[in-house]
Amino acid sequence: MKHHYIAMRLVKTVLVAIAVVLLSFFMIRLAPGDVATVMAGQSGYADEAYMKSLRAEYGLDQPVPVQLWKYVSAVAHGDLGTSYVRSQPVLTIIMERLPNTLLLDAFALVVAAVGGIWLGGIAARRPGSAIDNATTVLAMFFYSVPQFWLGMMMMLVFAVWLGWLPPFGIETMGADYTGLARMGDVAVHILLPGTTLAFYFMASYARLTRTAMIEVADQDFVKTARAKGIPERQVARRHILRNALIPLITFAGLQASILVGGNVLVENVFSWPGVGTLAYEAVDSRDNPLLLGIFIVTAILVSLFNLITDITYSIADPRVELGK
Amino acid sequence: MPLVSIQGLTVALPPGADRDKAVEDVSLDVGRNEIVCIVGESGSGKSLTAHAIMGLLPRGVTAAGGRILFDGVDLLKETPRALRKRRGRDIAMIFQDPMAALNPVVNIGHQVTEQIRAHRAISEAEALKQAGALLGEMGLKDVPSLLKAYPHQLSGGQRQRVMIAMALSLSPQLLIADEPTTALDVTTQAQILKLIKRIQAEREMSVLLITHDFGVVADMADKVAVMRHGRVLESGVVGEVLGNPSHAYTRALIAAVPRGESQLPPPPDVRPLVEVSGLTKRFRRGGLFSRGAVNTAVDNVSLTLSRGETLGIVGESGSGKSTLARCVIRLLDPDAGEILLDGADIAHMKPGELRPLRRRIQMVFQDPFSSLNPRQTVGDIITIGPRIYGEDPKEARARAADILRLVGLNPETMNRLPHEFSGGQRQRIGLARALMLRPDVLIADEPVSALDVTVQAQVLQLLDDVRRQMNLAMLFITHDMRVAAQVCHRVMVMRNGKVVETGVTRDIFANPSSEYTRALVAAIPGRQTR
Repeated sequence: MKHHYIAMRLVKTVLVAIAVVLLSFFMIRLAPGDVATVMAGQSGYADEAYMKSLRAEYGLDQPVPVQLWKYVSAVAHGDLGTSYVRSQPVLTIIMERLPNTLLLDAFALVVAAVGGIWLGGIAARRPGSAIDNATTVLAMFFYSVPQFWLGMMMMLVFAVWLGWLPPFGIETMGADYTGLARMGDVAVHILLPGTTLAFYFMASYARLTRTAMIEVADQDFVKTARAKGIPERQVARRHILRNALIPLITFAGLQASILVGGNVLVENVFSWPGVGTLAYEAVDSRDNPLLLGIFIVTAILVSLFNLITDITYSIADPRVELGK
Repeated sequence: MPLVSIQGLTVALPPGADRDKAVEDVSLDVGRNEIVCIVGESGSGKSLTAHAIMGLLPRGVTAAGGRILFDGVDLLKETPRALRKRRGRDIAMIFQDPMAALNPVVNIGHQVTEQIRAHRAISEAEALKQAGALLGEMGLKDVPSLLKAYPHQLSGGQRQRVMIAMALSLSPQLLIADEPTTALDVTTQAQILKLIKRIQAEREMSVLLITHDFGVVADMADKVAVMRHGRVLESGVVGEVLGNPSHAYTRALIAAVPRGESQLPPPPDVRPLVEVSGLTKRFRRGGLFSRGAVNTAVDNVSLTLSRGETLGIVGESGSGKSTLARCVIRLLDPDAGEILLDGADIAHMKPGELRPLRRRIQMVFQDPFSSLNPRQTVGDIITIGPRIYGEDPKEARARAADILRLVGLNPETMNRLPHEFSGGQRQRIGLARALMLRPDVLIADEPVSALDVTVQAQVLQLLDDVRRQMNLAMLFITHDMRVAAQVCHRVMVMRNGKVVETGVTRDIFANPSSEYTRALVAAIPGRQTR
């Protein structure tokens, strides 16, 4: 049953990817201009003949259905095409950037979850208390400020004024660290963009945890646990928190899905060489094959994250059976 | 010296509650090796009294006065730590709804061992062995797989047995059972009560049993205390209180318990208004890619119902009685069979054809709290039906006043919202809503199971009066044999979607033809003693 369910979900993932290819293929063409106009603009001078030759080179002179067919059959063979601007295989470019995005995401996710659950737990213990109100206000603040602004402020304070942390990039340029030294270097670089991302989600985690814990604390089985003479710490952890965390799994899954496409704003503010900055560059230069490739890879990853979320959920909550 | 001696206990509610004190000056003894019942309706303070003994009063609710002596020690003066250690070890408690009372994400074995290990320094394996033995003692089968199971995989009866096993795991001197059978099916109810009684005798424990049901009191108690509005009205040995109640309220409570012996004559022999034949309803589960299991909720059911007659449909949860009712009123579309209303088959009518006929079959629902729209005034709720059918709003309001009077409510209530009414009053509003459409058939789906006994008796009386006055055909759905006996001319017993037997109420009770009906009748609390 389980294997059958997972197989079915993977089939659905492929269907989603196909739908994404078709949709984005047409939607990208809705935007005015193409790679030829961008290149012509960059060269500073272009006549009709040059533009025409450019378009012929990239196959843009052919009818749209033909272009689509060529693209789809290439994708079916695992070939996402070649970037117009970088003249490199799209897949190679994305795979170079993807680990950076995943690293940043994982960092943000863990910090957000751990911090948020901790804060939410404190707030839930005494609803309406000063500490509860303080976490609520803090959470609302981080939830409502724009991420790029928060990123710039963080950079200003910790990199420019205090000089504690590097302002951008993933490692010190030209340092050529290896091994542990390199890991340490990356760790220092990830702090600013990572916490900027994490703060936003941490607020949500804190609110969700607080609500869920207050709700669970009211349930009969918590009363049973106390009637059994279980120490209060154990009641809080094993009975209240354990049940309150279940809805958070869905949220973490959603959050991972949002992040995996690369956070365009935060990655750009901190010049983080991830998929987000890549997508920004691809849009800017009308690099359609690259943009489409990013869409496809993201769609597949989102589907996979959803599947992982569902499987995790069924493990955490025995009442939930996969495929039912 | 009694094991527990409650002396002048007063429990205060937080400021802003509807009254200051939930429990006032309550004194009560529970002797060793005896079962004491506290009986009362909702809001009587019976449950809070029990929770006060456990030191588990809800947040904001405090014991404001009096003493609770347990073996001579005042529990109200004990430190939280000492009280915590006492809970589960000296005093254990089981609750009304075992599904809610068990942690849904922890397996059964762990929930039992957790309690043992909170009080004794033994290994998980050793605790698990003890847990297994206890579950076996509770009459549970296949203990090894049960220990690994989760609460949702068990039946209601099994869950309550697990709760009892857990409560007994450290051989407490006192077991507090707070309405331990209210959420269970009738036959399961009887088994659980028997189990509690057996265990009490074997272990020579004391049991404090909280209930609203005098039938349960008659079967179980050595002593009884009757509570109302936070006070003990009378208490004493069970035979005396039941046989010779000194307080008018106790007499009313005892009188309000349906007798379980039908008084109603056989139904008049007239042409049926409703004829259902071969009705079947299946539910399928499954999605885009999977073909799920099929559950036949109603399986080839036939019945007839005449004007002026009440047909009771009796069954336990999952018997298909509510699904049947929902098919008859066409809230659900049946998969097979016909439903003739005055000779016209409404089972296969299209929505357009059905619409003019919908008025003729109306329903009163179980939960008077969720079945009324909280944002609509009573007047809107009960006149919207007629207005949809084109009645002049002014006329409808005038008629609504009459109907409200008929169901025993003041017509001035029309401008108020549902939350301002008690459960019994809301059920009257629900009935008024149904009657406003001048129905021929009234379906009452467990209309009194959410109500207190005295209110229950009033609503049953009202339904019967209305049925008589308006010459209604009534389909009365209930899980409670006693209630069925009181208001039904005929009874149809259902189990697993099928009809077990149908007959005149008196005959079914006196002489049930099937094993299952016999079990249902035997399970009625308080039967042996009467």
